Amino acid sequence: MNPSTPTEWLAQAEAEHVPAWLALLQAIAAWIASLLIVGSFFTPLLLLADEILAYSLAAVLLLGTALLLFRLKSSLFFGQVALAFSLAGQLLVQLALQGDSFWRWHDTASLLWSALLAFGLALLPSTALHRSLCLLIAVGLTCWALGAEALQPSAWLISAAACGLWLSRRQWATQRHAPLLKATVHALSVSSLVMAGLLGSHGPWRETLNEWSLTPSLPLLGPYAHAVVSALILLATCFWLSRAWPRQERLTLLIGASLFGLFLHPLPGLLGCAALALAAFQGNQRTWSTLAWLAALMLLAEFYYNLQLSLLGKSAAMATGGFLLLGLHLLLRRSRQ
Amino acid sequence: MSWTTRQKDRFLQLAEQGRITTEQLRQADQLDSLQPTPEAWRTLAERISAYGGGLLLGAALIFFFAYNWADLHRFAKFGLAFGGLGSCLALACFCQPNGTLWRASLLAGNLCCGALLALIGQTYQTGADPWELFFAWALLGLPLTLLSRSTASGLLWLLVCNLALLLWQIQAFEFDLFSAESINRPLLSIAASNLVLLLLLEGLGRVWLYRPSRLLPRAAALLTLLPLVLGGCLAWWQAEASISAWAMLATCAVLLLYYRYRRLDSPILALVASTLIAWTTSGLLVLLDDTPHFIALNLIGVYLIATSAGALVWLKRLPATQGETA
Repeated sequence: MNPSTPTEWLAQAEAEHVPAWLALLQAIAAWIASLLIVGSFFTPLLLLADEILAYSLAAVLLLGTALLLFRLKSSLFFGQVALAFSLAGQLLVQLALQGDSFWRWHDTASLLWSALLAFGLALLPSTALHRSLCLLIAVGLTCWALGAEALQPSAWLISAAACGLWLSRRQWATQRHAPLLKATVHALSVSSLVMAGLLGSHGPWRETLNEWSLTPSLPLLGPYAHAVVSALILLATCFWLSRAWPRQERLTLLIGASLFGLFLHPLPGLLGCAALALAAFQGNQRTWSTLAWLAALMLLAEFYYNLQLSLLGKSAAMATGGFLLLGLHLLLRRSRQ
Repeated sequence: MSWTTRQKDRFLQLAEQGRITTEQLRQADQLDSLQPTPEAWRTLAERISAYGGGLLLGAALIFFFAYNWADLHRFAKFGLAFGGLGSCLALACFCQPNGTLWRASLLAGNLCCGALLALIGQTYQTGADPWELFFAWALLGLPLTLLSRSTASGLLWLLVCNLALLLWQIQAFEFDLFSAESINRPLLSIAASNLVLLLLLEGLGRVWLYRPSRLLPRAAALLTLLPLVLGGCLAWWQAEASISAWAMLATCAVLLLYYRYRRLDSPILALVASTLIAWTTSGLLVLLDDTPHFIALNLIGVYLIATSAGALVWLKRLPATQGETA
């Protein structure tokens, strides 16, 4: 950057910044235009060629155009067009890999190949949004391919990795691979919140998944394993964050976090969301921090439908957690005075 | 010098994009730490423990009553709902006017009004239509909204009003989304109501709102243009809806002139531009009906790209003139 002082860098960055509402309007227009153009090419291609050949040809064409558009780096609009082309291309690759079994969504090999393609696309230079979405696709497809048995360990790994990356943002921000790491942390944060929703409580999502036979017999590594690991992630986050705190305050925080994990063990998703929110705050990412708290709020609403515990039991768990937090608040106020 | 969280995030973003070097990031870090300060952590911890604790206790209370709901007498249920409303109003009476707690308690009171009306409707099976419920809610919520002087309460009231109006139109008149005759009246009445609200907000909003914000007028502008563009696009296929198209064009012209030359507001201008792009694209769809699909779809795609790019260039140039016209 040309300007010489930090304030001037900020001013220049602000001047170049495109507001979110304008980006959204541009994205809507770009996606409609992309759909029209893709549709115009795709329909005759399907009529002329064999289905798998048509899918493969169209996929190569779309992915090639997308990469070309990303290289041009001309505007926000063309970035969105390229993104639409890339996602359509990846969908066609998945369809071509599945071959004659159009609805065979459990084919591990095709899912892993698609995940690999998405991961490869994320490595190539493109927009931050495209990289994040490609990595999100790669993570999602890999989890799907690994099956229900691996869902819980995957969720733990994802949650721990997301927290770790946000906590160490200051350290990797200047690394050569920072754009890729940033995209990774975005993808992992989304996955972490989705996993918290899927596994966080035993609510209607779990039942819906079972009904759809997507995760036929979602096994648990023991009834409390998910709660224990979620609490450990929260505790580890608090431990890392408070390493420079005075000993007594640090001890209060860690005891508070442990008790919080203990009393709210029926709501492991809430613990995971809290860990992510704290880690994102440390990474100066207010948006992700707010999103994680909102997700926690939604999990609280979903908790109402939990079938493992009576409403009275849930009420008791939340009341204990609430009193604990208010007690912590009083302690904090007292220590400030 | 101290950086805000947003500024710290922006510095890290610049570093991630490779636009500032490690040395430059260190320079910014030396002026003020790029990590959250102990004070920021303490504030966050206090907020989470207060709001989180309150929320968990509130949820525990709701779950407790839900557990015993079937065994509660209807007067006990009303007592609970009135208790909630009364507590919110009492809290508002005892806290500092126009403070955060004052605005939050009046917003919660407004929400309790809706819950109370729903409970009355459910308990006594009054036979009232849903629009009557929303209309009553809008009426009862108006004094609270006016007293609160907050954007959040204003947005809630705007939403409730629009729902009441929409449900009334659907209930009172035969509503068919694809019939111009039945769609003109609801679309135009919703748009007209929101336009009146927009005018009121532009006239009195700055005096009424405790913390002036452009969110309410923008929401009103969106709710004005949305039904109009729907009717306007339909007019390309059904001539009976042409009145909606004329109304849309007139509204767009007025908004364009007002928000470009009297009170510069880029988001509203972007809404106007999007409305016109959507309307002309629909027109192009009709015009190219007989053209081979391959050519038509590509032409429309290219038209969308060209107009959106033009709108972006125009809108990005606008903020430079903000100081002169705002």
